Amino acid sequence: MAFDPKIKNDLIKILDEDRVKDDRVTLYTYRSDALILHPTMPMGVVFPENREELVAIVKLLHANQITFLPRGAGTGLSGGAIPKEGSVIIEMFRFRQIYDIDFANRSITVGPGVVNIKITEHVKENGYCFVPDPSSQKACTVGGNVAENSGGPHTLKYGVTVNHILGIEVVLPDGEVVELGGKQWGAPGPDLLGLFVGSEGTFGIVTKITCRLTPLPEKVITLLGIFPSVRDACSAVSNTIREGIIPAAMELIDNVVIQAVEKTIAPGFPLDAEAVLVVELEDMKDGIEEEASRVQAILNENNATEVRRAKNEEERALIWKARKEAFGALGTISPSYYVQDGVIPRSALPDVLGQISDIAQKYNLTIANVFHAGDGNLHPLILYNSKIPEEIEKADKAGIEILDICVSLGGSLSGEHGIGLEKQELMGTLYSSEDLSNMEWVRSFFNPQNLLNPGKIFPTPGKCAETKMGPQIVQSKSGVVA
Amino acid sequence: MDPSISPETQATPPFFKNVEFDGILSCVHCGLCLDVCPTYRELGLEQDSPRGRLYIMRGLWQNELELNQDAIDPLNRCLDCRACETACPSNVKYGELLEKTRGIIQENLPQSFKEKLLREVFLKRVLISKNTLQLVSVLMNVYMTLKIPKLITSTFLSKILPKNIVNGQSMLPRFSGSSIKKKYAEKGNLLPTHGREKKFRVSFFTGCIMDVSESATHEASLKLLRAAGCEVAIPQEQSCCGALHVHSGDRQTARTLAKKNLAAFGIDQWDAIITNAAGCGAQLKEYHPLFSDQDSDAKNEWHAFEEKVIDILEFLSAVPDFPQELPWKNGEEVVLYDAPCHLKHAQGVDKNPQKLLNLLPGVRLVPLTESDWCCGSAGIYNLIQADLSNAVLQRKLDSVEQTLTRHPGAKTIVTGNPGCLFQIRAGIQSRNIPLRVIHPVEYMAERLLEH
Repeated sequence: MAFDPKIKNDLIKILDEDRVKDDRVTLYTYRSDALILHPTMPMGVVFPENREELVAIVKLLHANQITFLPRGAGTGLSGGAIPKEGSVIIEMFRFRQIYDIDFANRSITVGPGVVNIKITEHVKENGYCFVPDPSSQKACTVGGNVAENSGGPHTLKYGVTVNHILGIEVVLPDGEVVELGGKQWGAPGPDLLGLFVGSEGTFGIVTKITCRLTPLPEKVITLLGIFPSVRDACSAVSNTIREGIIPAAMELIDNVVIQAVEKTIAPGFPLDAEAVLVVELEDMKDGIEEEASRVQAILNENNATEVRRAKNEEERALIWKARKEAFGALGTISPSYYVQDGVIPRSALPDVLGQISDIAQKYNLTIANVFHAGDGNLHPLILYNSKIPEEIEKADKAGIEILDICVSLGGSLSGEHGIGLEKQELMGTLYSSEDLSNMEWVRSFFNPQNLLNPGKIFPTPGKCAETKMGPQIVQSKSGVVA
Repeated sequence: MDPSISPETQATPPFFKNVEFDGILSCVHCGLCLDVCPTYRELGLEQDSPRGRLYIMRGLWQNELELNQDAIDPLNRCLDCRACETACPSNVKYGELLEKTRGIIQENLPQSFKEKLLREVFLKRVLISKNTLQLVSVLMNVYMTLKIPKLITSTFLSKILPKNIVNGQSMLPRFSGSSIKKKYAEKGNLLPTHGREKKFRVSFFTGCIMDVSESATHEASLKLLRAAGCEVAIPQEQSCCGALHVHSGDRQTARTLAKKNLAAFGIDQWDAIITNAAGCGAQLKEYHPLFSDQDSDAKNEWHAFEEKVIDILEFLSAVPDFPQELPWKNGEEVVLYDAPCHLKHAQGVDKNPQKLLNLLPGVRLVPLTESDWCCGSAGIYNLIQADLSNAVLQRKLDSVEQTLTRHPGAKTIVTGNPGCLFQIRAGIQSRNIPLRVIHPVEYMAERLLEH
């Protein structure tokens, strides 16, 4: 695949030769994001530097009815940046400006290509942070966070990306530029900004983002509970929340993952523990110690063999490094993995983990678990060898079965990674055809010709019951399932 | 499942025969390496990120990409700084995989005239012959005494000569005209400890360029080692470490050099083999991948050799009561620190050298704001990829200026690798920044009082 020569010429007129690419090596390296199961070559890749160039490209592609999609750092796990139909990829790397830091309005305005962690690095000295902290935050872009409505460990207390975005500037698929939201509080009428965040790059291309800044907590305490079984660790989670305590984060890491991170990051987790639970408390100085003792007691009541407390920032950072880089660390024990992102009601955690282990046995695969236990957002990692075709197939099937369980318990297909092209065919298990057609109707308001990032989120026509418009209220995908 | 996925069962192409390459599979494509890569930061292209380069290598290995210019350009643009290895949660051995691939490229693709010239003359003739090196050093010494570099960079000559040659002038090492190795050979080859009872018996790696230039660095190293209670030997038959050869894909010459060094140093007679060049140290610690076809006995021998190799700063930081027991000047001074990539990222040595320097009375070490980013030197990268190297250097200089604004009293930057010394020094001169750039051991030796 490559550009039609005339289109390529027109693109070069807007950008220049260096920033319009369709050689095989470019297409090959852009055929996949962090979901490596479904590589597809794009028609070409373009590299605009500013909004004017982007608008000109979008208008050109729109006029020629060519499909396209934006791409940030390509760290997404649901294939949101994979050009499913051989679309043109618009690389957003060059939108890295930091426009405005406004402490009075507690906001920062940035380009979508800015890397997530850079925001906090910019404002930390002034006592602020940007809360959403996906595990890929050292590499993923804020534009990607907006597209996927990303979460992270600390969403348990503070909410997901949508709760931390004040306003955006967007280029719609026909090239029109609109602004949604802004620094001010409150906007009458429907919450279009809320609708946009999490639309997985199917509504428009974000060119500017105003993010909410949050004061850093006065004090942080990080506890590490060590458990003889995953079930006990899960019960400790439900019991903590039941007591009315909301930690900033509750993260569960099982034995398979412990083995892997000890090989690379070596945080000192006991190799014989079946699970460790990271509990982070963030609060004012007064009262946090009592809260910590209470949590410690709950962990002990739920059979923790040991509860450690990070003594300093260095120890805390090491625990979080192990948690955040756990996916990658699995590379030391398995050549490939397939990560799921299902959500379940918190109370169902102990049973579901047992069922996942049954599925692993049924398919003779190893499934590792490292996840946001506090909000019931699972991340089972199905390990497989991509050199063995049957294993790819088994991994895919096991993934579907896990999600079926999540949905049957009243949970959801995705907590933070998005549906993308990975789980689109399963949307019918969660939503009725009316729900889906309503959602498609909303999308068509922004993206009527489906030129922008086609083939994502919704089931492929024909694979699901026919969709039609209807008045039903659509259940929100964003937000934490409690 | 997407029907377009072809299971990864394509036959490995012939040029990967006998090359251990399974390590490529540990890359899970997570992308955590992207934002630490200097070339990705400059170019913003997936194929110029570590993940993209690994994907290209994988594509070559799986026979999905052809070994052609499009595929090798991004691989050649890699600085081999290995910051991606520090960032990688899966421990992908990026440097090893890249160097193996560069070996394949060199053996299977025609090289440009410039590359050939550089390889045949500089890498294969100059660096590995001590007589030639000394001759070059004498000539270069004269060249610099006559101030020819200044003549070239500050007159009309800078306009008419090729850019690489002009830029190269300011990056020249301080050639001494004589070989340290030879100097101490005449003095009997084994230097006794100085003022302290003997605690260690070590041997000292002098390198190729460093043997005939920057003699202050080697003299300072010997002074510190002896003051720390080391008896120091300088094996005469040692040679260039081979790093520049490995980086450019000439694995055959590198193997010869590795064997020569193994024979010259041996293993058992030393407590440690000391280097003061981060790039050489990294190479001496990574000889075994050059011999992946060898049996396990031979491999064990390489591992035993590699375990003896240690950077001088790391070594000194582990010597009991050093520096506390010795007399040092105690004037207060802020010193800026730059972490050489091949010390921090390739050898994983970072905290101890900084701790050591901070232990000197009166010294406060301040890392540059982007201390752990590459300076763009990268062996001879700055000669081959001059523009990109310069862009990377400019970032480093921005970071120097930024750090200097916060610590205006600083007069010195220390960095423990010759390539970085030359590169940063040239950059500092070009911007007229009032700092001197020296090796940390040179700075330490300056503060050590006679005892």
